[in-house]
Amino acid sequence: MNKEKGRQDFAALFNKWGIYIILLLMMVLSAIASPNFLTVSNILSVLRQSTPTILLAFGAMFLMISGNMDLSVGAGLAFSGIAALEVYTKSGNLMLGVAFGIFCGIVIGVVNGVITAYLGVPSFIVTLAMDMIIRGLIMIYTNGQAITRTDNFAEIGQGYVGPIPIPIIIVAVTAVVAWFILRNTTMGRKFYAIGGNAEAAKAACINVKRVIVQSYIVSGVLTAMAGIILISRLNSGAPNAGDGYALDAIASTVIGGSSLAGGVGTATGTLVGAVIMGLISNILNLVGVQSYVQKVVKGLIILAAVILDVQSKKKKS
Amino acid sequence: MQDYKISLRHITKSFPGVKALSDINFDVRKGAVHVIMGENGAGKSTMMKIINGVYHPDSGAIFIDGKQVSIKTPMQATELGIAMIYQELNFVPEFTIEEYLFMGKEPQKGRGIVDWKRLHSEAVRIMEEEGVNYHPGTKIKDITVSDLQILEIIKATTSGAEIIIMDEPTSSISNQEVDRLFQKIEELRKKGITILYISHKLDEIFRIADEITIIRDGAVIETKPASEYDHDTIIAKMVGRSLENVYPEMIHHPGEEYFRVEHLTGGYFQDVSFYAAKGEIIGFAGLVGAGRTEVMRAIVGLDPIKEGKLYKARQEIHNGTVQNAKKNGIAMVSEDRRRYGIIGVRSIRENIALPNLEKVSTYGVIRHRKEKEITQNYFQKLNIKAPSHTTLIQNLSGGNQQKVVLAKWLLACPDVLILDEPTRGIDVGAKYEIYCLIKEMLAQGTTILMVSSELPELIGMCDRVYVMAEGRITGEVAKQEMTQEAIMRLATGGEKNE
Repeated sequence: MNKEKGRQDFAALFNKWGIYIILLLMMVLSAIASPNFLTVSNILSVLRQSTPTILLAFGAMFLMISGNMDLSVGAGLAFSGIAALEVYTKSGNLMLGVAFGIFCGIVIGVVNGVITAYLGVPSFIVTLAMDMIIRGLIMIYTNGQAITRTDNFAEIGQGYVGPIPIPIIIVAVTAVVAWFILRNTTMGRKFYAIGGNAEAAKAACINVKRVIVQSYIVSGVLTAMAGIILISRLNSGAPNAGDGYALDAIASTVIGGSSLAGGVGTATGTLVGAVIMGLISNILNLVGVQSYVQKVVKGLIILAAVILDVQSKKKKS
Repeated sequence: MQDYKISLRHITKSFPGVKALSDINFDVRKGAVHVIMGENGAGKSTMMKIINGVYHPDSGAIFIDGKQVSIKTPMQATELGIAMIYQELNFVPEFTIEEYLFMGKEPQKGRGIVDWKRLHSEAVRIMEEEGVNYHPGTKIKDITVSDLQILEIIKATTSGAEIIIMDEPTSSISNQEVDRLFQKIEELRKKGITILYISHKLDEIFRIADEITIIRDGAVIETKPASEYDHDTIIAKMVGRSLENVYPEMIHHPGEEYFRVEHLTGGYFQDVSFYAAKGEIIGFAGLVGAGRTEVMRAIVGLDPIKEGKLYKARQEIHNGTVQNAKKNGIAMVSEDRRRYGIIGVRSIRENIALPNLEKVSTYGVIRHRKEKEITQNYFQKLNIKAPSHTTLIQNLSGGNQQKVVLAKWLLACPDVLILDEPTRGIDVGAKYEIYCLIKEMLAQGTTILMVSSELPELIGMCDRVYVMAEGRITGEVAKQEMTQEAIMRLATGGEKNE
């Protein structure tokens, strides 16, 4: 019985602090494996490279907390980013470009959300189909060619405020806002409620359908921000940008402690989860692991995280 | 101990925050029908789940035929000849009867290849023998609960079960079906099969019981032959005090008519009309499926209304959605707590605040201090037993969960509160506390509509009772003429003055 209790304590401890310990362990291991790791420039570059994934992870977190998911964020990212770039190069107004990109993200979110909530189609299917549709539209528009005329668009993704890259500032602000929404707003409460038990939420006077659409809009805005930053940093509107990012984002969120069953998740957890995902790539690069092997390793890590998540929940009940 | 088929010794089991069973001891004779009686939440189901290997006891031992056994999984229980017929049958709706009968033990020709021909002929033979009048290809979802029960029992006996556990098997079947079930139980007894029968229905157990074990608050009170008991002694032992104290004394004077429903028609009910006064509690009696819950859901805007009107304080009101119902001062506590009442993975505090977010926020921003103050107030007032108000609600016992659900609607201060089976599945102590809360709300002028399947509860609490059968109101019973018989007659479709 004591042994069992010990195991439960461990599970509780792991639930609370596990990912922070893993993050720390990974940083120590990386520092040992490569002397280049613990330099300011490397850390900043890891973070900057991770910004699209981190933003998408926050989006995935809001959706997962409210019991949904979005597999179309990879295509949504490219669409919004390219849209922003095109409007900017045609108008010469950077703010207008950014605003239009974010507007595209919102529209995609509304479409996904309305079909999921009001037509009752599972989000998995809706967003899978949406991913194909949007990606196809991008290919039609760009004819499969990357857009290379970017003028000063690169400023967003490559610029600095003092010593700190702009994307990192954007991520920091987003993290604080996400944390605030979840912890301090009625909207956050509603996200948790509909994901935890949609029927009980409905009985408690929550307009479940509207809240689902709201969560998709939040995710859409974050997706568009990720797209603008990515395309700006790469200095190229590649039509296949963001391919495969949706699953990375979902994986980051799960590693960060959000429950696939909905109703559970925190902003800090998601941030750490996404940084861990970014670090994995960085370390594997630094120690010279081939990119194909990296995929396998990443997959294994995601699997391990989900197994831990499921197992620790089983012990609790 | 050799004479006993199954014996429990010093079985103890705790769940987080609750001691479910403490030092349980009892013996069951071979071939006897042994009834376990106890209030909801007394620990009957936990005990049976331990015997069936679903739960593991913290300590204690189980003996079968005098030999100590260890039952870690339901599969091991099956190997030991134990079968359980669950209260809510865990059926597979899309299976056919014959597939279901042989589920997991299909006759095979060669390794892993189902011999459909033999399966079919065996199924037909068994069904004829047992008098189940269905085509063996009928899907499980298309047969009645009673038939499914009989199928479960057949399944158990054909797989060689010697001990069959039945968990409140009569809770959702009709009287004729009860007769059929009891006939089946009689047959099983003749075959020497031991039956553990869980119930809290007094009337039926004397028809079948050989021995009765009474449990209360997770402990065995006593085990005696059924012949040594009568209604009153069992109740006294089950409740642990005399029946007079189950309900608080209800002295109140309802005001003038306040809430009225006229000719309400919806999916499962027709032409339902009733009224209630300010500070009045009216009850809704009826059998399962009479349409009571559906009427309430329609009133509160969870289900659509086809026809009919609602009035509050002589003004017509339109709900349509729960949000509107709340604005109109009408709220409902659902019968299905897990499904409609709680958000298990969130804290007590969040659950209480959920329908009252506007009370604890400004411009969409939660004011944590105010929220804490308000929820803690109800936490204490309702005597919710939990380590703190940030405890996840799924870790609470049923009674405490129900108190949280009540708290969230008390906080909303409705003028009309609908309570659908407010005390289902909770222990006697918590019931009493909930009754006292109801009394307090009535004193404040709240109108309460209470749906309940427990007649003593309706009689003990309500000023008037409406009885429903098959989607219609079949009668109204005033306080002075309330008896279980009068209500049951109306509930089964009879006339009031027969």
